[in-house]
Parts: sequence; structure tokens; C-alpha cells
Amino acid sequence: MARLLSRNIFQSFSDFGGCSALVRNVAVGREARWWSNEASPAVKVTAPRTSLNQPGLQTEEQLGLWYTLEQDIAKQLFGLGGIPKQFATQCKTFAETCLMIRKPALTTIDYIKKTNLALPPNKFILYGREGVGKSLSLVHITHFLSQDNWLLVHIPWAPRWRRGFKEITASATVPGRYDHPLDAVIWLQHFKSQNSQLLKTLQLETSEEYKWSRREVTEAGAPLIDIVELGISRARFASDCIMAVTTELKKHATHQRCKIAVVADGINTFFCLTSRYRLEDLTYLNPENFTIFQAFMQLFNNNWRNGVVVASVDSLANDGARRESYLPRYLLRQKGWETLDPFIPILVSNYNELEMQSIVDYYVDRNWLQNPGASSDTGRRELAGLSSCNPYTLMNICNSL
Amino acid sequence: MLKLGGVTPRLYSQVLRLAASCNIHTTLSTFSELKAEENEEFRTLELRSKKFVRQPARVMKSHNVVPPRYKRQKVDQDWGNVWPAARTFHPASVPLPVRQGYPASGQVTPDKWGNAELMKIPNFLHLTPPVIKRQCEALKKFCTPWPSGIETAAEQEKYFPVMVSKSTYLHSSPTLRDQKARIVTLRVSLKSLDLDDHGRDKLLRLVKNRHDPTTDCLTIVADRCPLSQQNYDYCFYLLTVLYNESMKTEPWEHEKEVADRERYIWEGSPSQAALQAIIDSNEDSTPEEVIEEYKKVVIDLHNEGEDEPTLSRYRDSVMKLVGLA
Repeated sequence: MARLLSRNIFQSFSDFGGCSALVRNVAVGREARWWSNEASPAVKVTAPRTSLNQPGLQTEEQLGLWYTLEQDIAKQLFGLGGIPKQFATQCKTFAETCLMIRKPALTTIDYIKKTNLALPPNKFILYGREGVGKSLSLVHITHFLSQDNWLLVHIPWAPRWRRGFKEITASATVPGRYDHPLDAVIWLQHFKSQNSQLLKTLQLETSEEYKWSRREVTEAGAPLIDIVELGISRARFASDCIMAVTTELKKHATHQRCKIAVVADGINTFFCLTSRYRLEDLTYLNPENFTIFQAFMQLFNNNWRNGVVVASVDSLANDGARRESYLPRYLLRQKGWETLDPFIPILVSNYNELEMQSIVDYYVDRNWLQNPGASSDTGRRELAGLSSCNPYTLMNICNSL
Repeated sequence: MLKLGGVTPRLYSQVLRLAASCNIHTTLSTFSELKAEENEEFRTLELRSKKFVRQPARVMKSHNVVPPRYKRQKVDQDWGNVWPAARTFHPASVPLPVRQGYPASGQVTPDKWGNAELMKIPNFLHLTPPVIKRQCEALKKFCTPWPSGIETAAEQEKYFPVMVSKSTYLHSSPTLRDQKARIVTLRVSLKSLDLDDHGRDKLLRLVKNRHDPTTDCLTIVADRCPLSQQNYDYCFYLLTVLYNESMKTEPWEHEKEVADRERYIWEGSPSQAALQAIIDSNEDSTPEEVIEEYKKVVIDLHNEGEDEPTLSRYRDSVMKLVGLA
């Protein structure tokens, strides 16, 4: 989900004055009366919903419909990240987490169902302009993956570790590497919350001994959850725990003990050249030296089986100098291309007509758009024109109505 | 002496002149007194000033204006005789209702009368097509016939691949010369130079933006010498040097790295290694055409640039490769 604020849109909208069907209440009141005289009495607009809340069962017939993500599942899967902040506040306002069923997510889910797990992991990269719905499509796909018993390695918004990290310390174990103590703890908690059920049933074990300090040792054959819990309790070792967990999971997947889905939002940030952390010699650190980055990058390779990688490339995940295009090869740079090739690029685009109808119906149903002109034909066309059918822009416009 | 109003300065001066000419000593007296002296009448006392006598309005002499020339021009006149040489725009001679310039607010575009903008810009009224045709016809007798064997552009390109152009200038000012006459431009198509891949790449790196990719032409402009003959020789010298240097391979050229390459080369690339990994782990053998298609698509994605068509071809090819299509 894009983070940009289109202030210009706000400006132009407030300048609209009397010609807008949505802003001037007086004019609309008159028009509403005229409509009610002319047309049939106002039909209550309801959101087109579907009761099929299992993404695995959704087909093309449900395109444009809204399905509900139960509160407890949403909390379990995305409690510590995954759903974009603004959308999360909107869900809180509406008292429900509903997602629109759109083509890119359904296509990816379809491909995941048909994946040949004996080959190196298929990489599905969602790409598109800013604010077009990549992050929310990933949310939809993650929901499917967790329902389909995939072990989730979910990276909510990768650039946070490169640009907005809480703390970075030099690694105690490997010189030249840098840890994220607090961010790693949060991720391990997230991993545990998403996969707790599956880890219990799968009973994965460590294959080798991990010595964290003189007193803390994890023996070979111990349950994998032990490493996760150790990392959560000891922030100093959390990044190394992530490294251990990912290595172990890779081995388990290759030996067909589980199937692993790596979901990464903003994967192109892994291949950026600078982070915000300044070393003593005043240069910015290359993010490839981060322990957690190395831990996840080993999952992007081709040398394991029984897995799938679903990611999004976002121009906002790159540094400011490399944001000209939204196309994946440009955003991934040489290094990202070499790591991820061959991948399947999946385009996510703006709303089409069906989806525009659906979103406006949903907002009207949730009483977010209370102006009677909103659901009229003119109002809809005006919303489509102002936002150019871009989901994020439309959300921002409707916030002020 | 009574001093009354109504004595105009003109009258005053007239009186004095009169007095001066007549050699009469006069004290200033009023108009009536003067009149009385002249006419030897009883002097009238005028208490009120005389009304201002309106002088007749100045009559402007109406000149006989000749109507503008274009009104007297015939429709089928010979325009070449009206405008035989380059001339500043003259609105009365041009029978066209031309307008030029940015209109003031609320006004229309200014017309041709007294239009400085129209007069400033060069006009080509002396070079209308019939006039040009006439001039060409007149020049024809001084021309030699076009050589046989080079009628078409392809033949011209084949036998005369190099095109050299320069301009000459003639001034009718104190100096005849113009410095711009020393500039010489040499144009040659790279197809005419027998260059292999390495030679072409090296030449393009040497000439940089002097090469036009759309027409595949190299253009060399020389103006560093004072005489055009010297610049001409310099152009050919440059061409010779460029060609010979491109054909040579220097010992350090083997240090060229992947980042220096001008196009994407498949052999030895990580994409090839990744493809191999997929082929190896596939139990059913991957068809040859799928591999070839993938290779071609990846090369196109890099060499032709990334956009929706190349990306969608890449997507289809990868899907076939991993068995999703």
C-alpha cells in the first residue's frame, strides 16, 4: 500500500465549489428532491458481499465482491504488521476487516494451487503503481496461504528494517554484520503468532546445536519453537535466532517436512545499496550486512524445494533516486534480478468499472459516504475522475467527505 | 488713465507697433480710446469685457491620398514583378489580410497596418513557387546533366557514402567575409564502413552523441581551423583515425566487465544458471523450445528495455518453464 499523501487532490477537491455534486449540500438537497420526484424512491445501496470467507474457495465469479476476514484471524495473522496502517484504521472505523476480491490475488492463489513443489520455489512478484492495491492483495494471498497450511515467513514491510529501524547493533557472533535487536523480536513474535498452530502439529526440530552464549545452548533435536521463544525473550540473540530459524526451515522444506511460503512486501528494498545506519567512518551501511536481511535473502535462492515466494515490488521501497518506474526489473536492480530470476510478474492495476461500483457501494453501505449524491451516477463518475480509479487516492478523497 | 479689462496682449502689441511706426508718443489707452482717436468719434465706455470672439476653426488641409497599391492590383498579376527581391514587409503592396502578434486583452490579433512584428520577421514573398520555377528555368542552361548510374538514393549511398556540406556567405557590408563559412560537416552511414561487432561498439563509444541511432549516421562537424579547406581535411583525418582505432583491439580491452557491456549477453549470466537449476530439478524434460523462448525473452527484456509487452512475454515464458501455463 502506498504511503504517499496526495495533498493536491485535497486542495483541488476543496476548490471545487458549487459545481461538485458532492460538496454543496444545498444544491444536492434540491437535486435529491428532484430525483425523488422523478425516479423511484431511493434504493438502499448495499455492499456486494460474499459469504465465501475462505480464499481457497473463491473463484472468478466472486470478483468485485467483499469477503470478511474474521477479527481473530486478522489479529492472529496481522497483529504485528501486514495490513497497511491507514486501511487498518479504516477497518477499525467500519468495525470489520473486509477485502475486495480482485483479479491479481485470485490469479496468484490459482498459480500457488497449481505449483509444482518439486521445482525450485516459484516467485510471484506483484508490481504496479503506487496505491494500486499490492499490499492488500498480499494480505488476501497470506490469508489463503495460512488456511492452506503453508508455514508463513511473512515480512510485513521490509523497508522499515532498512530505513525506520528501531535500533542497530554490531553483531556479536559475526564481525561485519549488524543486528536489529528490537525489530527481530517483533518479527519473531509475529512469526510465532502466525504459525503457532502449524508448528505444534508439524513438530519441527533443529538439526544442529546452536550455542548462543556460555550458558544458553539449543541442542540438536530440540523443537524449533524453542529458538523462536529464546529470540523473543533475549533481544541480543534475536537476529541470530531468525538466521537459525530460516536456515532450519529451508532444510525442512527441502526434506519435504513442510511447505513454506515466503511473503515479502517491498522485496526490492533488499537490493538497495544504502541504509540509514551510519558507521563510525560516516558512510551509510550497505543493507546486505544486516543479519536479518541475509537470513531472508537465503530464502530467495533457488537451492531449496517445497516452497513459494510471493512478494511485491514497490517504488516507495527503494531509495528516492531509483523510483522513476514501477516495473520490476528496474526496481530490483541488477542484484535483485540475478537473485530472483526467473520470477512471474503479476500486474496490479487501478480499479476497473466493476470494482469502482463495488467500492463506492461498500463505502455507502458502511455510511462512510453519507451524501446522497455519492451513489448517484454523477457522483460515481466524479469520484472516478478525481481519483482516476486509483484505490489509495479514492480512499483519501472519501476520508474527507 | 483708466485701467479696464479687455485689453488682450495681442491688441497691446498691435497698439505699440502702430505707435512705434507712426512715431507717436502714446500713453496706454483703452481700445475705445484708440478707436476714438482713429475715427474721431465719441469714445464709448465699455464696462464689460467684450465677449470672446470665437476664431474660426483651423481647417486641416485634406491631402489627396492615393489608395493603397493592392487595391489597384489585378487578381492575375505576376507577383514576381511586384516583389522581385527580399524586402521588408510592406502592407500596402501585399493583397493578403495578414494578422500577426499577440492580441491585447479584449482585442483581435493586430492587422498588417503598421505591424512592427510583421516587418521584423523575414518574409519569403520574393520566393513564391512560380518565381522559383522561373529562376530554376533560367538557371537550367548553366547546369550539366545529372551523371548516369546514380539516379536512386540507394545507388548514391553506394557510390558516394560520404556527404560533406558547408555554407558560403556573401555580405554587402564593408567586409565580404563571414566566419561561419569555415564550418564543414561530414556525414557517413555506418553501414558503408565495414566494421565488425567489436569495431562498431568501439566506434560508438568513441563518437558518443555524434551518432544518430535512428538513421545510423555518424556526423562530424569541424570548425576549429580558420579555413574551410583545413576543416575539410581535418574531418577526413578524424574519420580515418576513428575507423583505424575501431579496427584495432588494445591489450586492456579484455578487462571489460559485465557492467560495461552495451547489451545483455546470455552466455554465462546468472539467469542461465537459474534456468539450469530448474531444468535439473524437473523430472520431465523441459522442451527445447521453452528454453529457447525463455532465453530470447530475457535477452529482449534487457536489450529492448522493460515495458508491458516485453514483461508479459517474459511472464508467459516463465509460466511455461515452471509448468503453470
